[in-house]
Amino acid sequence: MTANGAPHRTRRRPATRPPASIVVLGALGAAIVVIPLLGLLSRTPWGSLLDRLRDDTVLDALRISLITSVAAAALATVFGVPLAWLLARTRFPGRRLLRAIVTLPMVLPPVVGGAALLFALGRRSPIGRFLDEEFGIVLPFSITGVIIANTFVALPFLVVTVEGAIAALDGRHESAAATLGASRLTVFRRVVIPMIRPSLVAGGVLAWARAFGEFGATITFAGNLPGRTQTLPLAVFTELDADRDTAIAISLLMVAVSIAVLVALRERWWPTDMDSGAPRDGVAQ
Amino acid sequence: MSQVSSPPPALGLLAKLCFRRGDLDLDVELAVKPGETLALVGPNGAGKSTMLELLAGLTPTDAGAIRLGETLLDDPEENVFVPTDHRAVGAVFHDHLLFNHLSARDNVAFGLRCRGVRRANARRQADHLLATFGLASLATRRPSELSGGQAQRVALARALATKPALLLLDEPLSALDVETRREVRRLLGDQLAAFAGPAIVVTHDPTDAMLLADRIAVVEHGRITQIGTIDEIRRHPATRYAATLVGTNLLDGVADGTTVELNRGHLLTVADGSQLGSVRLTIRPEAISLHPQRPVGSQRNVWQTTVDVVESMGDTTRVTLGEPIALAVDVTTAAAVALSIAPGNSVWAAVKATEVSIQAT
Repeated sequence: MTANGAPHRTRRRPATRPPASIVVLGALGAAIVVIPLLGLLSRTPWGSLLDRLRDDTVLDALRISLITSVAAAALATVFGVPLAWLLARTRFPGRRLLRAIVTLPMVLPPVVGGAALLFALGRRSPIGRFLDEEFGIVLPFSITGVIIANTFVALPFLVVTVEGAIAALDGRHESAAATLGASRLTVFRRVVIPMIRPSLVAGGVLAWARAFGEFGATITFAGNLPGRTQTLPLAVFTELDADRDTAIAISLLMVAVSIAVLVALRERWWPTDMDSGAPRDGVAQ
Repeated sequence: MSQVSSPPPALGLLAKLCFRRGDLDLDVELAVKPGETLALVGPNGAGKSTMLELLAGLTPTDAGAIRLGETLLDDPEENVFVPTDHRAVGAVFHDHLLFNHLSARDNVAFGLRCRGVRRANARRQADHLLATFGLASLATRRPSELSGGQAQRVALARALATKPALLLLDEPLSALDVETRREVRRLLGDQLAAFAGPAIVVTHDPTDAMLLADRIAVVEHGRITQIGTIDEIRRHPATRYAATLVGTNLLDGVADGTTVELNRGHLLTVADGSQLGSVRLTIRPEAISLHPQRPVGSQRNVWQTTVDVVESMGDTTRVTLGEPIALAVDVTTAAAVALSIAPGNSVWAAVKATEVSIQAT
């Protein structure tokens, strides 16, 4: 049609330079992030880097880290999205308290979370004893334990992000869907989820990132067993004492994986143009 | 049109709606026949949109009953409440509320899919409906790629696709510009004429109400203050709002024989001398004539006044007169030019006694 197509983007030159005080503070803010990364790069043993990363301990830790962080992000999504919907769209007694508790792991020291998991799910706890006696499942000091610890710390990031997105949705789209005969479950699956997709992806990435970098809860609940529960952050911690150059190599590997995931997700999923909403090349077909 | 008009559900709507929230105290009764369109007009906050929400089942009533044909949809006393997704209701909203993650075609197919129609079949029906609406070429577009008018037409197609028994339209044209509004109004008018069930359209534009609806219900402060055809309301507007809406002048006064003393002391002569005491006069805007000098003729009511506001409405011009009687007058635009009607100018106004209708209050 006519004039309401794509808005014209004209790049306008700022009339004045930004205030010096803001530039200085902003630059210092950037330095807080950049300088440690430079420190890492300056100490990197570039010559032996590949050999160090080819070490079995490192490869095991990479494998365990990828499996557990992806599994934790997936679990956080599967359980966190319905929880976020309940918190945002239903009214039940204790809802506000539940929301506060669910977000607690964001501020709780992870080691406390790990200890709590140990008391709740350890072999001497009722649940732990039941799992052990009935199914022979022992959660602490297992890769499943790592996944549980990761999910524990990652879940709130997803819930908070998605709940905010659902609460911000104009509920009238859901009303419109209901007039078209959609049950509440259909509205959730076919309207709410697609509409919050950018936030869902963002929440999933945050949850994954939190799980990927998880340390305290993991080491407390699942230990630091190479090849079984030792993730990359735990390997860095171990190698800092044993072999500093390997610790640096692993750190660099984590930086690389993190950057690769962020870049890949940004290009594939995150809307770069607010007008167009969700990307169109995707899943609907 | 076959997709839309058949099979005829032909169920009438009978509703008594009571609902209180905050400032709103709604208590209304509605009866809409199959094939009839009722317009709800009224000031903001009067409860019009709430009435649609109650009828759609988005909110339960506090008391009352909603009956569509033989089916009871909502009755707190009987403990009956049919949720929205189980009511055969189609709804169109002022801001179309299309799903932006779906193409126009899948938006229209959405309701059919919810009702268990297979995807290929639902899409075929959606395409057919879009084609009837002249939107075939836009089937694969996202709502964000449609103009306001196109989006609203898709929304109408979406609402009609499930062949609802009751159609609810909440300010369906209010977000559109004048030109688009006319086009969409024509399509909507055609669809409403072909629609077999009862339809309710909320609007605050009298033109929409007149062109789309068979009857108009004036809703004020949670009550229906008047319900009738546009002619009935124009002839006897029950309230000041109704009078303003249809453009009729409403004056309160005290009658003594054929003379009525208005509240501000001015006297008008009426033909019907049977009333005594408090009365309400209505004068149609086109019944009043304007003259540059004192007119000579049979008019019993003649007075000099000043022009307050002049609004052109195409062929006719609406002139609002100032003291002593604030009245709306419709004259042809040619006459307005000839009389050089302009704000502040002095004119003579005249109206025959037979053109002043009188009702006891």
